[in-house]
Amino acid sequence: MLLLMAVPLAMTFYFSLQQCALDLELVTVTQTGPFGSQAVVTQRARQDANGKPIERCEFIGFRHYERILGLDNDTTTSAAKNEAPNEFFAALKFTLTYIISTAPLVLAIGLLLALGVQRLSTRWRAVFITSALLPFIVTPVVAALSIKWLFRDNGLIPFLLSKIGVQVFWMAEAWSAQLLIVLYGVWHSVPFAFIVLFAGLQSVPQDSLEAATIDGASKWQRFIYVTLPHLAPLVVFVLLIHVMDAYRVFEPIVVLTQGAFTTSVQYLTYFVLLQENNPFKASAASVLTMAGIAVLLVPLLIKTYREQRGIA
Amino acid sequence: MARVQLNEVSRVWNSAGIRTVGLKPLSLDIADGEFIVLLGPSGCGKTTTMRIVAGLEESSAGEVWIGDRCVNSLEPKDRDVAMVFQSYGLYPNMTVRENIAFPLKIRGTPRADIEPAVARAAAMVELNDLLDRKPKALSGGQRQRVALARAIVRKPAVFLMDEPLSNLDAKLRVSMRSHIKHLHHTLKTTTIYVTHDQIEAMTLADRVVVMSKAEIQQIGTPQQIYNDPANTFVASFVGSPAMNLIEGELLAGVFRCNGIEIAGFDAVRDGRVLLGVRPEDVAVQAAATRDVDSQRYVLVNADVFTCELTGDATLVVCDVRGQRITAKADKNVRYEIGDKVGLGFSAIHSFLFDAVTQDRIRK
Repeated sequence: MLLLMAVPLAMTFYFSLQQCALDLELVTVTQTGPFGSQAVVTQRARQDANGKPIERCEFIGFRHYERILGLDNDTTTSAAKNEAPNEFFAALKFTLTYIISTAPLVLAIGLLLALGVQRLSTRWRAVFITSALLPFIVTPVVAALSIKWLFRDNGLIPFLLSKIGVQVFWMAEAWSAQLLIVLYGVWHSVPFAFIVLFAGLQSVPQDSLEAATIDGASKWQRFIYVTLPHLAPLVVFVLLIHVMDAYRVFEPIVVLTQGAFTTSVQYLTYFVLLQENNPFKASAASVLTMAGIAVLLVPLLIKTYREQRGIA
Repeated sequence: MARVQLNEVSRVWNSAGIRTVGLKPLSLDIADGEFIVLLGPSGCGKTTTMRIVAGLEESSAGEVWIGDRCVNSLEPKDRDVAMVFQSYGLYPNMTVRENIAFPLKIRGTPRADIEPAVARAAAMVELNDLLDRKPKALSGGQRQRVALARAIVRKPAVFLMDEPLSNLDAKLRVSMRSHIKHLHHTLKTTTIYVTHDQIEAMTLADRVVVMSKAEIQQIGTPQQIYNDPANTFVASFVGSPAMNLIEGELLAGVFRCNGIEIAGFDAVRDGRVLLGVRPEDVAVQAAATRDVDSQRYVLVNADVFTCELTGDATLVVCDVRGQRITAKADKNVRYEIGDKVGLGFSAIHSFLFDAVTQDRIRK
């Protein structure tokens, strides 16, 4: 674990504090063609004795972080001006909104499904569980694409909506694009919540339920006093996994909007890496992403740790 | 406080066209304040009977009366019963105090009345010091006492106990047994107690209902069940070690089996019978001696198969021409495996059962 996690993290952090560039030199090259020679000045990486290009690394401290977080006042760097100065915060904000809006929905729908399936006969259970798990199994990109086809401008759902007089260009506006991503997130995560909570329902202590029945509890009271407390650790577990998943939300953003209206933290890292062609700045974005994960997950992890220790 | 009556109560399951009889029509009249034990092996219908009384299971036919009400159509909570489960059935997320208070709280008892009631119930089972703990911080015996306190806190008409001691270790079982006995003596609440442990049945019950194969085999006081069993099932299920059953022929008051010949029976009919003798009624002596009263006992030669020391007695398992016979002898008796001994049988201390119907042949 230490080797797999800590070393790459430390390396990333180390990279993010540096700015390296090839040491370039100007050389005059004489090109000889059929119509005479011509001297051209061109750039070339300086090479060491072994013929390897020499890289000059400069320790720049937290300059990358400043630029990403929009704290950079150095107006001479043109790149900083072109980017929205607080793009990282925008991405973080969207990620948080996404988590806050999907988590309760995922839990509620998952629990309702689990309770519903619990009441089905064994045969229908099997059918339902299999079909409910499909969204979870499908590759995210494929799933996001199919959602996109459902909602694109002359897709099925806009068509049906236009029949009742509602016209929405789902991909064209920020709110609808964000709504689609949230919808996709719920659709994709519910099966996991469902299956975990359903498994939990199988192990609800029957004795306690029957004791509550005799003690005078109604169905609802039995659910509140026996079933729900039994499921509580699983709810925390599902929440934990969902938050981790949500933090990595990536595919729907790429597929649905190409990042036009929303960016997730994960998307930002990807974007920085791709557009900037500067692995060192991307490293800084990655480290910030990790820091964000720590901020989000640490409270949940502490709670889980406490619970586990309480049981032991 | 209530009398409990079961009139021709039965339970049949129909699933996928297969009919399973859980309980054949059963009638039982339990007096107010009586401690009745349903005793039988697993699958005999004893738990089903109790669950029908509790309302957790519906009967296929018949009526259940608690006090002067027919409770067939009543919800469990309206039957005024309290139940103690084998695996306690506590609410793990609540403290002991909240567990005990739950039946009162859920029925809307005023807060001011709950506190003293909980304290009283906890005191009865000696739980006062543990009220703020969670169930998982308690031992098995303590958990079962919480379940008991939760049952008595409401002062119900009937207690139902479904194998409450089965999950406890042997030592705790004995102490919890006396707890329950004392509690019943104090509260005098009608109690139905389900167990497969015949010692629990013998020690706790006012009357024992021995069940097997979905029906009642015998109802009686512990003494009646032990001293006057109605059939071979009751005879062999009650008592430890189990009663010896020897198949043979009865002819003119003489029992014969493989050369064993015991006279002195004044049974009215001849034919294939089973002779039942409790191990403590079989006398053992060294083969050469003749210190067993030959007037009362018929001596049979036997080889010692094993000799087991239980502490308060010695169990001598003997081989009589292929038939295993257990005799309970004094704790100081010692035999080696293979020793020749004489076993003494007596017609007075034996039971005769019909070999076909397994029912007792009475004089």
